[in-house]
Amino acid sequence: MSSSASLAHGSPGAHGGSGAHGHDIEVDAHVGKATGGKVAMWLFIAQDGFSFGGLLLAYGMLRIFSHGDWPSTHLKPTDILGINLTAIATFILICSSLSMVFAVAASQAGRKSATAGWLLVTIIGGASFLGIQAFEYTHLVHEGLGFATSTWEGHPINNLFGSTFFVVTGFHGLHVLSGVIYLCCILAGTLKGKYTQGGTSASPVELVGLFWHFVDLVWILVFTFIYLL
Amino acid sequence: MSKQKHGHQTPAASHGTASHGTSPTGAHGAHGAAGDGHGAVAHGPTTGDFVTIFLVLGFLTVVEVFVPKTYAASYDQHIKMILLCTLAFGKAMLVALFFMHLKWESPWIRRIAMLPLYMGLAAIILMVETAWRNTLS
Repeated sequence: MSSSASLAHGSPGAHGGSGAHGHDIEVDAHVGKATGGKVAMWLFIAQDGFSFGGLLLAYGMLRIFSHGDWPSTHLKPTDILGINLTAIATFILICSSLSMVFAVAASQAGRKSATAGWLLVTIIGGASFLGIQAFEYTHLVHEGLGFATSTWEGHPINNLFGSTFFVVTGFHGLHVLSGVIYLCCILAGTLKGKYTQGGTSASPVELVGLFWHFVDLVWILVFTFIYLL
Repeated sequence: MSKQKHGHQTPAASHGTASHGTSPTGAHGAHGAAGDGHGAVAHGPTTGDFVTIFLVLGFLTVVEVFVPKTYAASYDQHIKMILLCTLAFGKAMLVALFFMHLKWESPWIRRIAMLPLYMGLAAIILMVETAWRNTLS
């Protein structure tokens, strides 16, 4: 496939104008053809990035001050957390990012059934990730990891590890849940034909795509800093 | 914000391309060049590009899982940390640049997207402060 086959300026899928109807497209000197919604979504993503950055920074500082007692002097996070299962969840999230890209493309090309299909695949990916996270939480709580008190197989461990683990991964899980609900709303609109009419009609699908990719991006960092390090 | 008319578009050609799916996000390709206001054909990502990025991300995830097992010894901790951080930021960059299309966005959108990187500055300040306190004690 050649990249030279990509769209020229003013394509129907471009968001700032209505190329499908033959009008000129207004190009902003600062944000190009990005719609107001797209700029707003990027601003939201930026502030959300600060939230996750703050949480990860707090996790890192608490870990540094634990002087190796994280979660105990004899245990490392990799000994407690299920790395292989979480790696599968990570891969599922990456797969759902790819399906989201295809959903956006189908929407911009005006293909209703393809858009709905790829959105459904993305929703299934997100729901699977949440299912794995619920299974993991159940297992960890059963083994003794908690917010207020933490033990592992009966032995006390640093409670800060449990607290920060659940806060950071739980905050991300809420984002995934929000994303799945958001995707379901967009899927409903797609089935009604709202987002495959050309012009800027595909913009909402692109916006949910941006949010979904951000959720994927954050998980890549959370997986490394909390599970692998 | 000043605006300018972009009057030399090729709607017919671009529409045809999008319909055939050769360029999943041709619209984003258009965005990238939009900022400069020129009329040349933009080169956006193709389906093949996205599948390649996906495969690279999958491969790097597998590598990541094996790094803690390979560098489990205490004297390997710094190597492990450097490797994992490099892999994580590399993967995050791939997602941002290609899946989120930052590579083809206007400079202002890129600046907004880079705002959270200031958290890295906060991290450096915290580390320097911690090191300074340790020298006092």
